[in-house]
Amino acid sequence: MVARDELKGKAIQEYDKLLRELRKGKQPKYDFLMTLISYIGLPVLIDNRDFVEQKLLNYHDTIYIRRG
Amino acid sequence: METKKITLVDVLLDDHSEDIDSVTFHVDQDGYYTVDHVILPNMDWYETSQDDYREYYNTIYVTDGEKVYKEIDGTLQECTVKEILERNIEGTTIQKCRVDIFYTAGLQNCYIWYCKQIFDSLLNTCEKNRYNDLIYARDFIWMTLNIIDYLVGFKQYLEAQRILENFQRCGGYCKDFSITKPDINCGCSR
Repeated sequence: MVARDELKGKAIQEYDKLLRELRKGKQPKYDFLMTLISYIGLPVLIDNRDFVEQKLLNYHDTIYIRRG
Repeated sequence: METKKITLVDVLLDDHSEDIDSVTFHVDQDGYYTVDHVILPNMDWYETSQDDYREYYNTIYVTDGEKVYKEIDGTLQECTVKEILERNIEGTTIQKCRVDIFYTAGLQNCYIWYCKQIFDSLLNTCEKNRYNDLIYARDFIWMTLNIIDYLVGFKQYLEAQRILENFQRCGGYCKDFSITKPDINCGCSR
């Protein structure tokens, strides 16, 4: 089980990343950050929360890189 | 990015002649504030306490409920509240505790204003182009509010202040909500 604080730390990191991209003049997508904050704010525990939280915590851009 | 310098916002002196359990301060700008509750002896204590007891303290501060005084060479001289807040209280008659507060009501009002604007633009078919910009601004403010909330939860008040000032300078979304800083355009895409 992932502690809620770890998810909050991840959200802070993602927000910093978003600001850095904005300063460069880019238009970054912020869907993941919205999802993460929405999940943290959920008042109830959902099924398969371990899986969902691990997925959120380990999300980073490189998962979209396809192999050879 | 430098955060704003520390300024003394307001001072409330109360002689506790009535039982009050809360005080109200006027705050007109979002940000990090600290509330210091300082307890000083009153004039009755100063005039009636024994010399042995008073000599226990290196420096004596007292209040009459309106002004603050400091004993220098056996006489009371008026001093500033700032001095009391900034000095080391060891060996003095000062007792104090501090509460950290992060105020975001201006940003919350701004968020509500954007939500209303989105609702209005849905009804107004002539403003379809404005809709996406409003959605973007609302999302950005919502994310900022939540991130500040997390940082405050971690007691990282100065980092939360940095985020807030960064948002105020670069975003330019909430100019009308108690935010006096100019929009200096930090390369933001919108």
